[in-house]
Amino acid sequence: MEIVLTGVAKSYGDQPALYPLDLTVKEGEFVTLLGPSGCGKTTLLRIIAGFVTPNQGRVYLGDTDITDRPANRREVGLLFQSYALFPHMTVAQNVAFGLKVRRLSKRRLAEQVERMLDLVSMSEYAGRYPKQLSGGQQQRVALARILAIEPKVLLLDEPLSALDRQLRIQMQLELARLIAEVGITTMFVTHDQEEALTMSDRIAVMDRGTIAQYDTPGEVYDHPSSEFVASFIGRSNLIKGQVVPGGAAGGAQFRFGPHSLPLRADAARGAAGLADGAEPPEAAGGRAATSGIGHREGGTAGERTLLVRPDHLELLPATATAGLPGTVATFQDLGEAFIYGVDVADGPQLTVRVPRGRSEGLLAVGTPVRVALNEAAAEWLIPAPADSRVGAS
Amino acid sequence: MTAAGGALDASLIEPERRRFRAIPAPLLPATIMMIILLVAPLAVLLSYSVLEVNGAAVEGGISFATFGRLLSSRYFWFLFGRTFAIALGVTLLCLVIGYPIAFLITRVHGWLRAVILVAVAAPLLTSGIIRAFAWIVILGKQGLVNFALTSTGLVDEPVSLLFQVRSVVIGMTQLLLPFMVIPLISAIQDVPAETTHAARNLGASEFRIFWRVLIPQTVPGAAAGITLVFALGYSEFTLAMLLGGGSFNYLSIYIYDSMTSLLDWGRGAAAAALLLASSLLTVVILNLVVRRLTRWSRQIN
Repeated sequence: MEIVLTGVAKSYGDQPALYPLDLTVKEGEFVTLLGPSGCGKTTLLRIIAGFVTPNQGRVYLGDTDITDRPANRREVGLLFQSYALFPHMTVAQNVAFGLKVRRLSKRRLAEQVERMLDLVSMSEYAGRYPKQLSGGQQQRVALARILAIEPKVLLLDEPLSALDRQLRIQMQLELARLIAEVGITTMFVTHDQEEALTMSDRIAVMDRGTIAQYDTPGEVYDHPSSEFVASFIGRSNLIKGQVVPGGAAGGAQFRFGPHSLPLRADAARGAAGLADGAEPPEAAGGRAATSGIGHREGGTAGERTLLVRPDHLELLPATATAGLPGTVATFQDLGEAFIYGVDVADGPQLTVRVPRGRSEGLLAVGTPVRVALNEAAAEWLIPAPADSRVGAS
Repeated sequence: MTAAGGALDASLIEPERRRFRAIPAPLLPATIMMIILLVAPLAVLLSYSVLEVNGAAVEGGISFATFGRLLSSRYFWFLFGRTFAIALGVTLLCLVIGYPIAFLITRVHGWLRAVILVAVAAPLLTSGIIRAFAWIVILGKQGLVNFALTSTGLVDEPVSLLFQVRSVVIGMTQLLLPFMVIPLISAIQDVPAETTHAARNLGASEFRIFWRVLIPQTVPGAAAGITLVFALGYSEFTLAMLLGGGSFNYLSIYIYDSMTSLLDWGRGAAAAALLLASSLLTVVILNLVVRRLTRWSRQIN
């Protein structure tokens, strides 16, 4: 079932938690609300679940307006961070709870409980109490309890935040697989961007009560719509500078300080050749490829921010000619890679990620190096504020 | 670390494995006080129940004659049963009245909460005798209750409320209520709110949430209140004597009479021993029952 929110807003007294927003989750989609603490993602989830009443706007499940329905009359299933299993009931009794409310016959109830426990692989634990189960097992039971009532929509409130890293990754896969198997429309809340990227069909990145971007994980990572989104997802180098037309082969340049980097044709939305169906470029004497970069209806290039992901940069020896000269200022050993902070001469500090296999060892602080874009580089111009997308459907 | 030859140093064994744990030095003064002021007098008293005693004097050695006398007395068994029944009744009343009050307290805040808490705990702030006299005034023929009943026309004549079993029950319930309410408040507050939210999300009505999700989770806490109220009610003295009147008897009063007016110390001591033993037994059984009912709250490996 689709979830549709129109004009939903919430304030606590005069403190706004959510500014009026629209959101649509398609049937069967897995959407994640991602953002830092206080961005409103949990408030939004609770509005859909019926635990928070919005000040304005309507909430729809499919065609039905559920805005005025109390929390125990919506056909949604909410999984809490703490799982909230009933400690005084066995696993089977927990799963049966929602069914008892719906007055199923004894036989049908038992069948459904068995089916659900089977689905989450907890059949052998039917007679155990929650306190006897591990965190992962408790989560499976909590999920079975919700799915037993066959809700139209599944809402998950940071269900994996309390788990340690290894278990978390394992549960992400398990949860995603289970949800895909059941095929239920799902809304997931988290502050962990890796989790969001792994599990979602689409991500709604939220910032202080608004949706900053609502797109597929790939789009959000490769083409963030604002500096906030760019820096919230993954590591980023945000370089402030100017777009200057010209340079090799009719392209454009990005100038910052005394340096300049060539820009690819599709480094900004609206430029020719972009996959999202942009309008054909104006033929302007061989400069077609760059007509979109930095230019909007009537706008000029001006100050822009360029996003370069640390894995799109590489370090070359100081004797190389390509790239920008700089010195190693900081480093982190992540195990699978090194993260260097390189102070570029007359420029910003750039973060460079070097996979462990690719380097001959840790470079010391102070080593002179050169920083260059590698072949996979796909730098991206953050849209100027006037161009960034608002609203999400 | 280890001695030559690999033998384990005894001090490396964790404390839990040692048979006896030494009392930590800071606890010694309190322990000694307890022994002098509680254990010793109790031991002396109880010794009177197993010795040959004539009146207030010890005449001979070990003898269970006193116990025999007591346990074959029908009157004693009647008294024993009545004491137990009243304590049980008061416990149930405290449970029934205490739960709503505890709930109310958890749902209100600020000054209102403070007022209710003080009102509930007030009995503990006054002396037992004053409490009893206050009830005598309230329950008397010209007291507050009868005044309310007659002036509103609910009854034609003042109702007799004093110096009977019911008077003792009323007085004890009021006295012991805080011992039920306070553990219950903790028990209610310890119930994770999310369990009620989850129940609501699954479609349960407020009624079902209350009885099937909330109350069952308060049972471990309620057990503490039940044990306390019963134990205190079972051994209550002042209230039983003053509110019960001349013809009312209770185990504690029986012991008192034996020791002071009848000077039958043997019988008094034996009755005290039985009171103590039965009280302990009841508490133990109560706890076992509660433990069985609340298996779910303990980590089982």
